[in-house]
Amino acid sequence: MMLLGVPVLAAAFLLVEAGLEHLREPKYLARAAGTGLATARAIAVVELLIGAPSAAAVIFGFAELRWALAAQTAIYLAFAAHLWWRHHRGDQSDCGCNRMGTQVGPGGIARAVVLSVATLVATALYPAAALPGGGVAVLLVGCALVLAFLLYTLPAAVDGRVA
Amino acid sequence: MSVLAAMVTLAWGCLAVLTLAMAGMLRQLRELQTEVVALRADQGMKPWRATVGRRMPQLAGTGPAVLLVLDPGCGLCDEVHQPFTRLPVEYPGIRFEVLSPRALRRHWTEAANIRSRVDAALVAELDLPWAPALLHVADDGTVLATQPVAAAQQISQHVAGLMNTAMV
Repeated sequence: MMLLGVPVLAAAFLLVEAGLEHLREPKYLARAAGTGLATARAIAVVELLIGAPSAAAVIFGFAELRWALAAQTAIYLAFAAHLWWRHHRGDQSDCGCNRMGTQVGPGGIARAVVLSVATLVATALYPAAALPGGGVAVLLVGCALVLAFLLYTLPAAVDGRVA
Repeated sequence: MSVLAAMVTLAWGCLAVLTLAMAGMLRQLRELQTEVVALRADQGMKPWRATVGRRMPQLAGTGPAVLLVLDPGCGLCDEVHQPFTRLPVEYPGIRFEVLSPRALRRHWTEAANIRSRVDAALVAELDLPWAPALLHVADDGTVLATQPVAAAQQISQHVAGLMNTAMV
C-alpha cells in the first residue's frame, strides 16, 4: 500500500504548491480558468484546504481526514475534465497548471487523470494507503517530494510552453 | 511488500516520469529546430550569407585578396594548400592569404608568396560552415563572396568562379 501512498502524497504536494502559486499570483489562474481574481483566489484557498489535509492524511493516517482524499480525487477529476474540454476545443493557451506557462495538452490531462485515479483508489482503501511509520516514512516522503517535482515539470516538458 | 522492493518500484516510477519528460523535451527541441530551418528558408537566409558584405578591417590590404580558410585538423585542407600556393602566379595583383584558427602545419608556412596567419577570433567572426573555404575580399576588407572547396584539383576553377562572383 505504501506504493499507492507516494503518488497520492505527491499529488497533495502538487496541490499545495499550486495553491501557494495561485494565491501569490492569481491573475495567471484567472486568465487560464476564465474567471475573476476573486474566484482565482478562492480556488487557490480550496487547493490549499484540500492539499494540506490530504498530505497529513497520507503521512499520519488520520481516519478523520479521509474526506480530504475524496476532495483531492474530485478536484483532480474536475481539473482533468476542464483541461480535456479546452483541449477538445483546440485551446492551446495556458493550462493554469503552474507558473511555468504550460499550454493545454495531453501531458497535463494525463497527469490529472492518473493522480485522480490514484487518489480515488487510496480513498477507497484508506487508511491502508497511509504511509507506514518510522524511518521508512521519511524515505517515502522524500520520494513523494521528488515525484511531485517531476510531475510539476511534466506538463511543460510534454506539452510545451505557451507561445 | 518489503521497503526495499517498494523503493525500487518507486524509483522506477520516477525514472518513467523522467523519461516521459525527456522525450517531451526532445520532441519540442526537434520541432523548434524544424521551425528555425523553415524560418531561415522562408527568409532566404543561409548562415554564410551573413559574412558576405561585412567589412573585416583585419583582412584589409593593398588590392583585393583571396583568402583560404583552413583547419589543421581537416584532411582536405592539407590537399588544397599545395595547389593554392601556385595561384598567385595566375593572378598578379591579387593578395593570396591563408587563415587558420589554430597553429598552421609547418609546410603551410613555407610558401613565400602567400601570407599565412593564425587568428581564431577572426575565423570565429567569419562563421563559415565549411573548411576549407575561399573568400574573395576587397582591399578595404569587405567580404565579396565565399565558397567551399569541394576538391583540391578544382581549386583553380573555384578561385576563378569566386573572382567572378559579386556579393553573393
